[in-house]
This record gives sequence, C-alpha cells and structure tokens, in this order.
Amino acid sequence: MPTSQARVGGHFELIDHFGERVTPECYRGQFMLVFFGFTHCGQICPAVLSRNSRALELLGRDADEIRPLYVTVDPDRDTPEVLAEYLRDRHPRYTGLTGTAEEIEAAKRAYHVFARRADELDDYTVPHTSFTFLMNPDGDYVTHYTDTVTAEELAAALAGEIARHRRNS
Amino acid sequence: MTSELVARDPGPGIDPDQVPALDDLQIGHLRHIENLANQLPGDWSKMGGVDPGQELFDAYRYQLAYMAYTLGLAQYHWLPAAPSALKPTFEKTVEKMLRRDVWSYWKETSRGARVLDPDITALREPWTDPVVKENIMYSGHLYMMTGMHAALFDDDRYDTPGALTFEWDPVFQGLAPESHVYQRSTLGEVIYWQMVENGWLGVACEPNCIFIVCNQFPMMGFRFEDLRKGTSRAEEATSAYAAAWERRGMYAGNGSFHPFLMVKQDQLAPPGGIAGDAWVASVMNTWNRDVVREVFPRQLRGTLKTGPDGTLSHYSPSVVPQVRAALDAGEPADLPHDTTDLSTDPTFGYIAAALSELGDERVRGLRAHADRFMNPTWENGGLYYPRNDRAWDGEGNRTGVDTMTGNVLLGYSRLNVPDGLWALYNRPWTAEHFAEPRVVSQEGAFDLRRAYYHRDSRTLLLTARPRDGKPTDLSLTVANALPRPWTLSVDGIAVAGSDGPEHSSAVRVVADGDTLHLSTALDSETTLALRWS
Repeated sequence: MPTSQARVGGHFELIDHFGERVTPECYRGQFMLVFFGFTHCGQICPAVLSRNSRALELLGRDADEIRPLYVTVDPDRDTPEVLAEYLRDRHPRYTGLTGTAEEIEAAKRAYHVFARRADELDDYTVPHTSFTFLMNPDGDYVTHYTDTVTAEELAAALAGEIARHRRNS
Repeated sequence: MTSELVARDPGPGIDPDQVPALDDLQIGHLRHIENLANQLPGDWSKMGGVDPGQELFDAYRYQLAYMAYTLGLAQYHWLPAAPSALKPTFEKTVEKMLRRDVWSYWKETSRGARVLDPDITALREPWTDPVVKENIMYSGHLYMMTGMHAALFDDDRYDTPGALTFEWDPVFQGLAPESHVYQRSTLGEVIYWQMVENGWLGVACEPNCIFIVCNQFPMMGFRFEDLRKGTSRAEEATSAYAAAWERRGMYAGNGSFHPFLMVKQDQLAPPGGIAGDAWVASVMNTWNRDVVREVFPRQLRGTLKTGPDGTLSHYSPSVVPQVRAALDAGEPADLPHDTTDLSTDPTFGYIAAALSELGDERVRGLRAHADRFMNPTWENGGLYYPRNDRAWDGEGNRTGVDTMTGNVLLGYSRLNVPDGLWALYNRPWTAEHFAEPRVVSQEGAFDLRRAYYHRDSRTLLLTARPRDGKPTDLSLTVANALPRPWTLSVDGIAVAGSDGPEHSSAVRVVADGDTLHLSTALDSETTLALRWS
C-alpha cells in the first residue's frame, strides 16, 4: 500500500504575461523554478527574484534548462501587462503568471503557499511564502529553497539537480 | 546495594556522586508507566478521563505522549547506557498511540465546531485520516514521539514504509476498510507543509484553531528528524514560527500566551492563565529558552499558594488577579483558594512539568503537596496519583487529580532535570555515544537504577534491584564491548575478567565478538562494574 505523501505542486491553469493560457504541460522538458509573490512587494520579492536571477546568470548555459516562473498572489493588481512591465527590465528571464482569483487560489493550494491580503486599503500588502520551488522536467517537485539561500548556493544546488537529472535520463 | 558499596570501588576515576541513579519514587513512576503501557490492547484502566470523546486535555493521546517523553527523559538523563530498560515500554506507547481508540475522535472533530468557528452554519464532511490535515494535537505528538525514539535509540523503525498506519475498519461497517499509511518522515512532511501554507503560525488542532502549545511538539519532531537526516528543518521552522508570531502577537496584555488563533476570524483567544503558560513554557524552552526564561516567571507570578510544610498548589484563575494586586501593593498575598472552582484539569501537572524544565525548586513544593493531599498510590510496583474528581478537601486543600497529572506529569517532573528537554533538543547523542558499551537487552524481574558508561575510566556501571523484593535471575547483553581486556566487579569485588576466569560462582559471562552476555542471580540491589583496561 503506498505511503501517504504531502504532494507539492501539481496542475495549474493561469495566464502568462504574454496573455497566453498556460499549464505546467507548457513547460515540460524544462525545470520550473517557481516563485510566488506580487509586484507591489517591497522586500521579499525584489530580494528573491534578484537572488534567483543572479543564480541563473551564474549557471551559464545550464540556465537554458530552467524556466523561471513568477506567480502572482495579487491577481487584482497584477495583470499580464503589469507583470510584463515589472519583469521586462528587472528579471527578463522570468515569465509572470496570473489568473482569476480562483485560479490563483488553486495554484497556491497546490504549492502550499500562504498569502493573505494584510489590509483593505488601496496600498495593501500581501505577506506570502518566500520559497522558490524547483520542479523537474516531468513537472514533479524536486525541492524548494528558502530566502536565506545565497545566489551562489542556489546556483550550485541547481547545477547539482541538473547534473543529477542528466545522469538519470 | 548501598551507596557505600558504590563508593567502595565502582572503577578508578569515577565519582559516584556524579553517576546518575534513580531513586525509589522515580523508579515507581517508570514502573507505573510500564504497567499502563503493558495493559492489554483496549484496556485503558486508570487512564479514563472526564470527556467520553477524547477531546479534552486528559485524552489518551496526551497521556501516551507524555509517557513516552518521560521515558525519553529517563533514558537520556538517568539510564543512558541501558536502552534495554525503557525502549520496549516506549514502543508500547507508540503502539497504543496508533490504536483507533486513541485517534478515532477525529472523524467527529474534523467536522468542525461552532464554539471554535462561530461563523459556520453547517458542519464539514468528516474524514478518518488523523494526520493528513489539522489535528496537530495528535500528529504533533506522534511525530515527536517517533522522532525521540529514533534520536534516543538510534533506531529508525518508525521511518520504514507503513510503520505509522492508521486502520479504519469498524467491525460491522461492512464497507471497504481504510488504511492511511505513513512513516515518520512523511508524517513530518505533512506537518511541515501545513505550517508553510498557514504562514508558519502553525497547524490547527480542532478545525480553525491553531493552538500555540500543540505546535511546540512538532518542532521537537523536526529537530529529531534533522538529527537522523542531517537536515536543518527545525532551525527553519522555529525561526519562521517565531517571526510569524512576532507579527501576529503571541501574548495577551497580561503577559500570558494566547491559547489559540481562530484562523478564519483572525482572532486570538483570550489568555487561559497559568495552565497554558506552563504547558507552553515546558516545551518551548527547548528552542526558545531565553524568551521563556524571561516571560514565564512573570506568567507564574501570583499563581502559587503556599500550604502547610512548604507545600504548594496553584490558585484558581479567579483568585490570581487578586493575588497579583496584593503583591503589587506590597500587601500579604496569601489569599484563600476559590473552592467553588471544581475543575480538575491538568494545570497542576503542567506547572510541575514547567518548573522541572526551568529548574525552579518550587516544583518540590508542588510534589510535596501531591504527596500529602493527592493520595500517592503504589500498585504493582508503580507510583501514581489516582484520578480524583473531588477538587477540594474539607480544609480547602486542593485534592483533585486528573489522569494526565496523576499518571504522568508528576512523574515527568520527577524524571526531568533542569533544562532536561532542552538538552535532548540541543545536546543530542551522537554516533560516539551509540558506539559506547551499553545494555541492549535484558531479562529478569529487576529495575535498573544506574546505567552509565564512564568514558574516562572505560567503565560501564550498572545498578540493578530485584522487583518487589523477590530474587530473580538477571541477564544482560552488553553491545559495543571494547576490544580490550575487561574486568567485571560485583559490588566492588572483581569476580571475572577476560584474562580469566570468565565465570565465577556469582556471575556468568559469555563473550561473543563485541558483545558480552552477563547473567547472575539477583537477590538484592547490586552494582556491576564492567571495566576495560
């Protein structure tokens, strides 16, 4: 009898920052590096996105095997256009994903992501989980990285996962 | 054997005063736990609580968990060289923890409750799996128990597939039985991801209610898991948890912990007083000692009443504000108990547990009160304080005893040492300990008072005493025997050695690789000192 497991990740249906409907199947064959956040975030998102972008730089050509995804937890404000504008100059490797409130909820649930709007004012914040998830080219969860991991450590870890995958495939 | 005999010659370089030895009361508590753990499956004699639904703080799961923790403290602090003494009983507690009588309450509790979620208009569909979601009041303990077992006994049996399986198969239901299959690490994963998705405030106990205390136990579980896997999840979890509660606010205006957060309402429950404070402090001290040492003395202030001959008991919550006001005013603060308070919850035991962990000598006053007013009872070699629903005697002394306090928590406080649980968390045994000589199996009706390997003098010191004063045969298997000549002394007199003779009229020793089998007749307390040159 199979052992019960905590499943991380899974199916989602969202819209990328080009306005296209996407599911995890769209990224099959590449690792997905998934981070949830929101463009009005003042601290965690800029720090983690910068760290992740720097790690991908450090990976060199291996970075081509990784599709970094930035999933908003603030779909009311983060439209595809807003995400595109936000990522274009800052983190051009990233693809931004948004959707309806229900679609975002489903994605958050799949990844066990916490995010809760902190107040009802216009300039609200959305405290959220700061993990970066690594999914393998088959879409399965590999591991996650906390925000305390450095770019260098992350690059080394990603290189290790890519090498392991190559050995096993 | 007497202490003079130990002093005679336990082995060169050993200071007998530094060798831990269980006293009669401690042995009595351990024996009571063993008696309870060995009751036939489904026999919960002496463990029955007030609530028929296993929903209150004296439920079987709490008693079983604290039985295991008490055994763990005894193993680490008192009998470190004899896993044989306590491991079988520890495993019985886990076995019982997996019984449906212990966790089946969840099928009803999972539906929710308006008291804890006042906005609901209908109950949820129930489910049987007791650990997949919420119910940290069960899963957190099971995780800590199985992790502690691994950390103390260097044994990952609960992390093998199916080791933690919950079988739901009511006899007459006639539908497909359900099996919920876990092992220690997958249980930990389920808990971890719930903590993540709850923003690190913790996992709910009853639906919608994240109790602070119940989320302390899985932190210990994470730590023990880290020790086995080389991970650092406890550090991540405790720091994220502390940060989350720093933002949310863990303390009420009076300095007490809020008992729980109602998630949907984002509302904290009003403070529950010293019961919750003491319970939290006794466990949170493991990973958050500086904070606990700062806040708990304030939480404890004005909660204890001095009785005759230095005995101590706790005031009811209705009296504490008056006592504190008197203390603030510099007035006499010896107020009478509120004998209209008829509750008999484990507050007394929680305070004893906390004081023992924090090294507060007032724990002796509490135990003195228990020994005077709470009917200490010896049965089958075991010591306990029987449940008593009569909260007060005619003179206004607190006499009520719940099963948590009487079966386990007072014993826990006697087996604990200052920072005792903290030590398990922060100074865990390493491979070096597990490579040292130790007793891995034993046969015979005896109790071990000492089981200690003295590294400097390479001496394994064991003090055994027949149970109930009846002579018995003692048989011990010592693993990790050193590849050196050895000498065995009995009560200070050398009786055997590897250079011969290996046997004597008093004791038989059989060497088998790095294992030594010792056997002897035991008619009184005896100390064996096995020393390698």
